[in-house]
Amino acid sequence: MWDYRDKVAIAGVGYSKLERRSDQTLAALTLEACDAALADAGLLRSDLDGIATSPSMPRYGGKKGVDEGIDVVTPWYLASLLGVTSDVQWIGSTNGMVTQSLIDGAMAIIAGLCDHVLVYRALHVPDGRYVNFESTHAVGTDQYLAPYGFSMPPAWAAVVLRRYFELYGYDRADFAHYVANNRANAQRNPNAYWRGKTITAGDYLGARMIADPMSILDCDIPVDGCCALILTSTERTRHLRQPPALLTGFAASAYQGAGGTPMNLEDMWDGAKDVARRLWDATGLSPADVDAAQLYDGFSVLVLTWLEGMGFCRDGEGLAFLREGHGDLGGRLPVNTGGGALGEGRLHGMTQLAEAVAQVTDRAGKRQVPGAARSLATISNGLAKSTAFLFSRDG
Amino acid sequence: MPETDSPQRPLPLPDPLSEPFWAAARRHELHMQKCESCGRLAYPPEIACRACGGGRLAFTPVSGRATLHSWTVLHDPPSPGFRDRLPVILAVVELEEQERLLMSSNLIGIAPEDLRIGLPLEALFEDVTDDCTLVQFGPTER
Repeated sequence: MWDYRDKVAIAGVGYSKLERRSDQTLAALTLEACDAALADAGLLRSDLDGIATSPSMPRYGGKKGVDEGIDVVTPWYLASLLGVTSDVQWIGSTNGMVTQSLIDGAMAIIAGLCDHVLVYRALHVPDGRYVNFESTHAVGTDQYLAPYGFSMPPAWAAVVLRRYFELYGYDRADFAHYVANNRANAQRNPNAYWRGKTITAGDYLGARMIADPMSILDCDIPVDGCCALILTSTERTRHLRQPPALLTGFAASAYQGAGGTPMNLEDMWDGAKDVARRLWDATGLSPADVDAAQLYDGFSVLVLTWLEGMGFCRDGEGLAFLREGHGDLGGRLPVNTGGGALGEGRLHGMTQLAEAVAQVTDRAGKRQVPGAARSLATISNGLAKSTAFLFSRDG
Repeated sequence: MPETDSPQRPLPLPDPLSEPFWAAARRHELHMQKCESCGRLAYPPEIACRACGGGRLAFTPVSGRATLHSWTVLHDPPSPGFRDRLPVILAVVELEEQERLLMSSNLIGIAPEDLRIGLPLEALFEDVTDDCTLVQFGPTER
């Protein structure tokens, strides 16, 4: 059993405004989110002694720069923006997902290196069309993909959704309830990009096709913005402003798929099941202990592979589960209660983490699952760099 | 000079790891790496075997016979060079030699409505330029 179960907690959550293209710099948006998280926790900038993120830019399409403060905000730069350069004991930066940074930050607290760690994800939408592969040369892994048109993540995800549909006899109509309901959840979340814009099942079925059978409404929306979390020890959190969300356990994946395609259904299941086994082993808990599941939805199909991979449904039954409303607020297992990335905007898993925290601290407002004691957050596609976290209510 | 209409699809820029694969394609042969320790076939080329960690992987011919694992249909060009090839079928095919030996490619010579999982396919070789041949797949000839 994991010795550090429930010893680290989230003490504060902060968002910047999420906009399609902001007129503020990414640095300004990042400061807005970080200051909001500090204020939420009742801490000052000078209380921070650890900062971590994965500052990567999306690889595909558009004008890609690496200008500090414009395209990326690295933790070294953020320390100076916050004026805490001399207070920082530890900085973490990964080339994977920001959720690896959350694990690193938790370890820094467990190790006694840091008292208060800021983990944030700042994302900028570059100018230009997102999906275009603009070079006439394809190098590295792109050489096996881009010459065939496999140059954008929606196409990779589409082959997974297609296989799922074909193997189990579903079609897009079966997904319409979930997608519309998920957007309805976003209406109850003041942070969500899509607030004020409901969609119907008919809107979903008529949506513009990106990579058949995946439409624009099966993809999260790239936004300019930032979400930040403050980690500290559970003991310390109890003296702060908000009730803590205890980090009960986590698991990360190094599972490499078959190759030849960036995503495929069977490997995503296998990877997710691998993550699930280690998460349940680490926590001594099981799917039956989860009151709300925040499942990564950069693409809609990932909700299915996580739902099944984590053990909530058998393979192929996840879509029927969602279609019957079991994932709705008030259902057997409310899924993506804050709207997920489809409804909140693309923040690479931060939406799932922030919502899990909100649910176990009774701070989810109109979307609160009554008395939610445990909430799961899973991030990415089940393959290497994917992670899962289980958060618990204090006491 | 490119033989297709400009602008061109993105073309592979071979590297030391991939050069034997693309060289075989230019000869209209499909080659995959095979691990000398465990016999597992690998695609794309790997530096070490992801099954056993073995470091000796040699290219070997494979049949080119495959089945359709999954697909997506694009009606908008994924880059400008696809404008005259729409709708384009992006496919993942599973080679017959090994379970989950997957390859991303295009399907040619078949309509989207005729596709189904498990459809028998064979490798086809499309000479795009004098020094670049892409591996495509089409329905198995009867």
